[in-house]
Formats: sequence, C-alpha cells, structure tokens
Amino acid sequence: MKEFITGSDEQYELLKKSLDDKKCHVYNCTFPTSFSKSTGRIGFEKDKISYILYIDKGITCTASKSSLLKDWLEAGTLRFLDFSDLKAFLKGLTFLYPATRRRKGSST
Amino acid sequence: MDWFFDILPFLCTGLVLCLFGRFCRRNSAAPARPSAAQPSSNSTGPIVYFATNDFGLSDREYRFDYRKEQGFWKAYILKMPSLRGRSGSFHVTHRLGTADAPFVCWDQPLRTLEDAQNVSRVWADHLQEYIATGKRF
Repeated sequence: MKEFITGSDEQYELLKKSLDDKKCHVYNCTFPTSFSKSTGRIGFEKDKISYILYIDKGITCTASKSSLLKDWLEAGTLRFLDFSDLKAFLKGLTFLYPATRRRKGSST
Repeated sequence: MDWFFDILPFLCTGLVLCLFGRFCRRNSAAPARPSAAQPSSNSTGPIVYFATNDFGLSDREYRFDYRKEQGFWKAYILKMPSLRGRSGSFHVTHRLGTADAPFVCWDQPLRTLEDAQNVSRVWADHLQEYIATGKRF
C-alpha cells in the first residue's frame, strides 16, 4: 500500500490511463502495521460517474486520523468525482507510515 | 438406445455447466463489489471531491450525493468543511433544501448528471475560498 502513498505523478498517470479499459484493476498489497490485516487487495475502477477505490472488507485501522479512511475500510468502497481526488486521498495517508517523506516534485 | 435417453439429462446438465464456466468465469482479480455501493439510476450515493485549492485550510473534503428528481439532477451535500465562523446562511452559501438535506443552488435546472457534477465542483471551489477568505460568490 505504501507504493500508492508515495507514488509519483508519472505512476499515477499510468494508473489513470490503465483504468480507461473499464476493468477493475486489483493489486495485492502489504498494509501498514496499524491495519488489522497485514496483506490484502486494493482495487481501482472507473465507471461512468466516478473513480472507485476498493479494499478488502473486514479491515480496521488503529491509527486512523481520517474519517474518510475509516469510511473506506468500513464500506470497502469509496467513490471519487475525479481521479485527482482519489490520488489526493491515497497520498494523504502518509500518517500510516510515519517515516514516509513526500518526494520533492510530487503533488497531490 | 434407451440408455442414451437415460443419460441425456446428465449430459445436458454437464454441457450447460461447462458453457457457464467458460463464459462466466469470475475474474479472480476482480473483488466482489458490495451491493450497497451500487448506485441506482436516480441516485449515485456518496462521491468525494476535494476542492482544487485548499486556500491554506487543512480540510477541503466535500461529499455529494447526486439525485435525479422530477427529471432534473441535484447535488446533495453530504459533507463540507467547517465554515470556521463564516455565515452559514443558505443564501450566502448558495444552498437550498433543508438543514438535513441541503443541495447546491444553481440558477437553472440541471438536466444531466454531468452538469450536476460540474456545478458541485464549482460550488465547492468557491465555498472553499469563502471559508478561507470570506469572499462571497
């Protein structure tokens, strides 16, 4: 999961383009230690009205400072109006990796 | 030849199952989608938007539920940042509806979902600036 939090603008552009195939793209991830599960799946999909972010259900987080993160974990799904919103959400989860430093030049 | 007719139902069942497995094979990479997350034709459910410019504020998160009512779309506001002491009157903040179910005010009916989504972006971006600077819109 850390790769999505620290991902570069170029990597996110590639992810965004990949979603044009209208398929759900699923990634097996290692979760931060504050999650109740160590590994699981995160999925990305674009539909007609939004960009969708999926995560395996049944996961909780002890370090949640974000109500949006909590809602995402509870529902297993979060919809974003634009891809930039999805990106901003994921890149805003740096608190899950306290030692993570934002790279220079990357933006949200 | 009677034996053939005896086993025919089993052969047909097996054929159907084979075809079903071939054309309806679940993509193992596709996670099951929560049924509660599927939007209806008249309501999208919660959709998150972050105002383009935070104007220095830590919270720029908005959530909308776009609903089609009597042929036109409305952007119901599920969540918006704190107004931080600014006037929250519906007139000043360009909202309609009730305190429990406010929606974005616009000067004409919104005929498409895309229009409603565009309006909600514009509204959120202007409200963010209003919260930060007090600038009316």
